[in-house]
Amino acid sequence: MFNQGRFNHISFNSIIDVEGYEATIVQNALTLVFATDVVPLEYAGEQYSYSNSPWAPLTGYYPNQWMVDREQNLYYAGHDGYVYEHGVGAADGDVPINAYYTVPPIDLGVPDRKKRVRWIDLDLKAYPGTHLRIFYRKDDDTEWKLLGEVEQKESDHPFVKMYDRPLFRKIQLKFENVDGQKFVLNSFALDMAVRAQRRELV
Amino acid sequence: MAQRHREVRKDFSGGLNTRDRVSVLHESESADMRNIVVGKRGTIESRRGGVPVLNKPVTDPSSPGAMPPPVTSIYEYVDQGGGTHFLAFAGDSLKRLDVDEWSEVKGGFTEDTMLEFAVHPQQDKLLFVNGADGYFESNGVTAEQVNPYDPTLEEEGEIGQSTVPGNPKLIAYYDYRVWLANVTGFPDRIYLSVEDLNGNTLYNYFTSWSWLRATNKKGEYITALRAFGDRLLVFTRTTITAILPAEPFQIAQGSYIPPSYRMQVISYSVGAVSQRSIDVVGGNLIFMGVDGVYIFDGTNAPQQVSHRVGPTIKGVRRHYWDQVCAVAHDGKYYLSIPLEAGEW
Repeated sequence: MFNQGRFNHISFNSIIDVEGYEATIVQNALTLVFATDVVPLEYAGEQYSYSNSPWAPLTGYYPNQWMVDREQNLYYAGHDGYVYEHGVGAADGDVPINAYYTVPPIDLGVPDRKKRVRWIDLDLKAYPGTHLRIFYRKDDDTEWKLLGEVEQKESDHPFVKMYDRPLFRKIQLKFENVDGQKFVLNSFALDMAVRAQRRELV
Repeated sequence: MAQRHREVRKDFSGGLNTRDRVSVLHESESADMRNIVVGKRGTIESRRGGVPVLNKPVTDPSSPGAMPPPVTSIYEYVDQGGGTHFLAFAGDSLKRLDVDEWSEVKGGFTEDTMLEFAVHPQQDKLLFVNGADGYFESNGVTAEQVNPYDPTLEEEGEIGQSTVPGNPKLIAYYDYRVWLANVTGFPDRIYLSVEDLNGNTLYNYFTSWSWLRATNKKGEYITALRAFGDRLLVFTRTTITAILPAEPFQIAQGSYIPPSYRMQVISYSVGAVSQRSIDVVGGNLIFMGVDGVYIFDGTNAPQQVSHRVGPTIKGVRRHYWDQVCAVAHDGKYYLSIPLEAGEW
């Protein structure tokens, strides 16, 4: 059992790693969001249900401290000298938010087969008058090519036709908002032709 | 001969993975995404933005055309009358949000320091420290340095002289008393406030002996204090120690026997890098350690939950670990970190 320093005559003398607060603070440039309300089925069986919940990187704002008020609104202390309420509006103040998502390479498990994409179906939440850009990158390309820009209007499945229909072994897709506009992507489907494919892909 | 195939992707619940090669990612993961949040059903959407609570900086720039000083601290203090005080610290001043302006609560603090707050419910006071200027109390409208308790001669003889530890960086309220940690010259000590001879536990009576030490052979300073469940958790960068009550104080025939606490080491390898990285998710603590983010039930070994973004988290600028801040809100834990220039 430990007790107070009243009976402890050993003075402090061995703190090596002493660092004070910095007089000048730096920007917290990256915010990682751990979505504990999302539990991927692939990772079941951990001690905590959310042990493998997804992380997502957010940029464009610089919180020095976060706070939730009693009304459950979320605020942060901004490095630019202002206090912000977070989760309101579609921009950071007046600055549009650039948002994108890249899909890992798709090769259907048969990387040796050549493929073509004929069109893409998108299941998007409707935000009429706003647009979403779709890029693709095939095989070992480093540059993204614009596939098309779709309006996020009421439609069961807006589809984007690939006019140049490149031949590839694997393809990557990137979805990016336009001018900071909001988007919600529920799913997408690729209609593909696989060459010399004798068995049906599952 | 070609066969038609329809490839459907409707689960993006894997989120960011910066650990694995792109070629081996699960189809629900992404190696490159930005400003996207994952919905409860595995959908993805662009994040929402933010709006200033007031279209004025908390503290004006020091000269025309200069940038306003960063806001380093915010806190909402709700007093027992239900009054709400939205506080923010920038430059050298603690301000309070009024209808259309930031009103000064107190100025003259060391610039750019980070304030840590604790509410004393019995005294109906907001207490705070900043590691540079002392120990303060506020009613949400004004603030002043805490005046050390003035003990009677009998109390001085029996309990000790009253002295506030110098410039604490951390503060907590636990077991009806105030705890101050990481004070000038003694970054591994946790001071606790004590009672007068009437048995009142005071927020402003500290003595030269009323402290505990977060013993660790690595010589690390205390990075965080957090009351959690029945214990006060003391974090260094790579250790966690729990303080638990052992014996209450006793006063008998004018003789004072101080309270006794036992310290239980929870982990010798995992700690927290900053006070502000700690919050509660699903009844468990979540915080950032030196090599990742951990979930901790207060008793058992912490479990790391950031494997898939490990390389990103390890890129935090070590010199600024103290600045890492986080919050849990609406099923999400937001962790803001400083990285090397040029990243992200």
